Amino acid sequence: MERSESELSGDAGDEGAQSPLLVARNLTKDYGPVRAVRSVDFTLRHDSFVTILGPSGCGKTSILRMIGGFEAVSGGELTLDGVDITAVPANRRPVNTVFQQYALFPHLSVRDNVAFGLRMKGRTAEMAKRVDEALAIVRMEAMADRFPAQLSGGQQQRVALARAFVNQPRLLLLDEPLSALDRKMRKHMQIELKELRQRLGMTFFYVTHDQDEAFALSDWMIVMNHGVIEQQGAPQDIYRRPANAYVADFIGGANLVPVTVMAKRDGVAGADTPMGRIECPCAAGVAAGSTAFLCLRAEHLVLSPAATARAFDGVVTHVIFQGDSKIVEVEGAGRRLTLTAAGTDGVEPGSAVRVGFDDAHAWIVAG
Amino acid sequence: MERLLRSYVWALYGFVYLPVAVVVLFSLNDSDLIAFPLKGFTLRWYDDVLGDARLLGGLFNTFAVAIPVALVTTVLGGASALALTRHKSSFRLVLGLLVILPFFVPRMILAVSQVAFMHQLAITKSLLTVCIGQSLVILPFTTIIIASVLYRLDPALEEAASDLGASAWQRFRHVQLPLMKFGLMAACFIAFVLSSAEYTVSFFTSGRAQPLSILVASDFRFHLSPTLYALASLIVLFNIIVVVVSELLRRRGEGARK
Amino acid sequence: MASLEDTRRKEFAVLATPAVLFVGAFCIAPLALLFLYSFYRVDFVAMVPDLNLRNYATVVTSETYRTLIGKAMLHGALVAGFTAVLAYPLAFFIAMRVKVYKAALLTALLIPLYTGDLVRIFAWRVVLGAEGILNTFLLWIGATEQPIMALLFSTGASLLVLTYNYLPFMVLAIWIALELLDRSLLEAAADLGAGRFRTFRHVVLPLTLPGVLVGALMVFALVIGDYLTPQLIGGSSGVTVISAIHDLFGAAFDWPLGGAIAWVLMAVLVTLIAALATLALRSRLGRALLRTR
Repeated sequence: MERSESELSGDAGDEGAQSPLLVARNLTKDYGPVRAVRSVDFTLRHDSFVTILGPSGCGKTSILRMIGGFEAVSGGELTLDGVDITAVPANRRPVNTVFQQYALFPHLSVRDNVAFGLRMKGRTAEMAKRVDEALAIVRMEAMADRFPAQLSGGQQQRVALARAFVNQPRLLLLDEPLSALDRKMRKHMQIELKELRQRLGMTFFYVTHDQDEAFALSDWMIVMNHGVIEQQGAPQDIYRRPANAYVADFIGGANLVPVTVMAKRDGVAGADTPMGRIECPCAAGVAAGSTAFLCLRAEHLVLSPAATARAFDGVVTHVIFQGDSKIVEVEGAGRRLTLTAAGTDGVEPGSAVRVGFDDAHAWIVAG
Repeated sequence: MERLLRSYVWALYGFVYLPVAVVVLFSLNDSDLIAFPLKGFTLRWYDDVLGDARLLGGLFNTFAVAIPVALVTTVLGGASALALTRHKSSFRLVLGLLVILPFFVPRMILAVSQVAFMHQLAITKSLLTVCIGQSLVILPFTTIIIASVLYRLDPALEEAASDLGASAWQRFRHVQLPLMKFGLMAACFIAFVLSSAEYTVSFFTSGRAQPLSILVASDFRFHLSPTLYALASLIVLFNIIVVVVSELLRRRGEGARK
Repeated sequence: MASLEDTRRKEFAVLATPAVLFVGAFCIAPLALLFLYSFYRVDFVAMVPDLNLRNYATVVTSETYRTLIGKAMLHGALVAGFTAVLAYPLAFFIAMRVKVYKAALLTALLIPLYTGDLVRIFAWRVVLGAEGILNTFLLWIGATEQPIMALLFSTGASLLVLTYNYLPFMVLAIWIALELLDRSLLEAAADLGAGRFRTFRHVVLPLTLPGVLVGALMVFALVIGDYLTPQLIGGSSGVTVISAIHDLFGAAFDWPLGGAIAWVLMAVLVTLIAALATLALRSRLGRALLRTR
């Protein structure tokens, strides 16, 4: 697996940095005739925040449920700390889960919910102290004797977190845990989650369909679609150098302009584009003589460029007001392209504009 | 339109309670005759019932049957309901059909087949055979009552329990059982009431010791009197208490979930 | 790999086995024995295991038994229809118009059901009998000179009490269907310009028909199996196929013939229910509803 500059170096010592925490090999999940996860491979490192991102039905939740032990693995294997856990039942895996709807036990108080895991394992001696500590970490000490029904969504969320991490699992699974919260609360909890992970030094495996959340949280991202992994890597790498057109479009909705690749050498492609010939870095699947896409991010396209190397003419079709900026849709280069523009420069639907970009921002992906 | 609907609903409840009200009314009427006009208020029919050794013996038999039947059908129904609502097994349909079968087989046919069975195996009729016959008839009811409670439980709660290290037994003991507790109690009470009222199967499977329902039936055929009205009123009153208590329990169980 | 599934399977087996054994031993086995007996022959006071189809021939060729089975089906269908018509508005009211007292209203409906057949039939005899409430009341107020005998011991009386007996099952079945109905569909219908009646006719009713069907099947089966009501309320019209089975197992002592009648009745019942269920599932509405589940 390629390393990226953004990655946190594991503090689990030499051994931790060397051997991975969890390895999934050819992991497959079938529901009857439907193959939800198609032989995927990935590795989770110690002390990292990994998000698995994809649209609904892409298989991301199935992967979490297989790691948690809630679904039987149809093919392939899972190893945790070098031990094969494929056939280990959920209650004997050193893994804990924060469920999407929290799944707090309604008949138990906050304290008893958090104590549940320790009680099941018979660790009653250290229980009270550890439960208090966990409640303090999520700032729920004052609510310890309440029942879940008496808590707000955000509070339930924190109890669910405490209930999972108090068991000091090797790996904490989070199944879209913020999806039930409103936008403001969600932003707030994202920061808390990130801080909490650093404080605990645990690996978080976080399932989400929200790319903003994935960018905000993760050190490592796995992008899925139709049961396969489209790309995995550091968030910046995935954003800057998407592996294919799907990832480019799904992550941040890049503008994709069809181009013909003329030559390729050492990861640099030369291609004919509607704006002339360009030489820029390209993704692995791009081959000389094939059709590919020039991938241009909205923020890298500028209106009325001064001295940029490349520019083309277009007509504005839509303008969407965004508060501090505008999203402008332009018909040009044979495509509808979106770009973000700051300020009010009298751009209206129908106005003719000149659009430019810097070659340094260009990237080519296979179709 | 709304007013019409409302009046209709009240009229229907009137229809449902009319016979019950009549029985209670005449059980308090100071006359041997069951006829208008009413003569005056009395409790002597109730006195008669409570002093009737034969009826009290029947009542004892009813309890001797209803308590084990309630417990057995609650345990069997609870286990089947768990299997039906908590597992995706391909045998689920078979189990469901099997458990519901005694409801759809005409009760008389069930009763005579029990007679044939006991004859074949030379089993003597007793309160035990009444218990077995009744449990069969009541099992579909308890299963459905408990399943309706379990159906509304979030399956993630059980996954959470496993995730936190609970074994299958611990999961049952610490999560499922507390959450289905009130459903089980409601089912148990309803089973008790259904058992005490059951006639057809009890008639065919009982020996010398007969539960109250059978004594009442024979009295009813041959000797109609306000004493029986008083007895019927007591049964209704008892049932109202048990059903209301079980309903309150079931709702308390649901209240804890919201 | 299979271990997780194995555990689940084992759990299912542990939970399901007791009920399966219980029903198998005390319902399936006795019914099977009854089936075996139905091929026996009665010789004076003993059953002879001389397997033959004579009993079935008797049932099928006998005008009486054919009529009785037909009558049972007719009464089952009639009462199912009556209860459906009576129950629907009530179920609708409880599901759609009541908020706080929903459970109380349902419980109130069930209490007479839990009181048992006897007390209820007993009460109806008091209401309908020659010296019953209705007649004495009518005499008292001078509405009639003679007690109206037909109030009790008639097919009409029997159907009335059967309808009364099984109304709660129908209300429950329809009520559940109504509770499961997505309320936003009603808003959508209103939003699209449908009035109350048309919303009901085109949205609520079609989507709750499965509940009506389930209720009808239950009531149908229960009416056919009802023994006490026709006997104690229906009078001379109270001879039913069920009372015939009862007689054959009692005074007449012909268990084989009784068994044959019972099995023919169950076969007819199962065929009808299966045909109805298949028809419902195959219908356009049935298929559409199946897919949404």
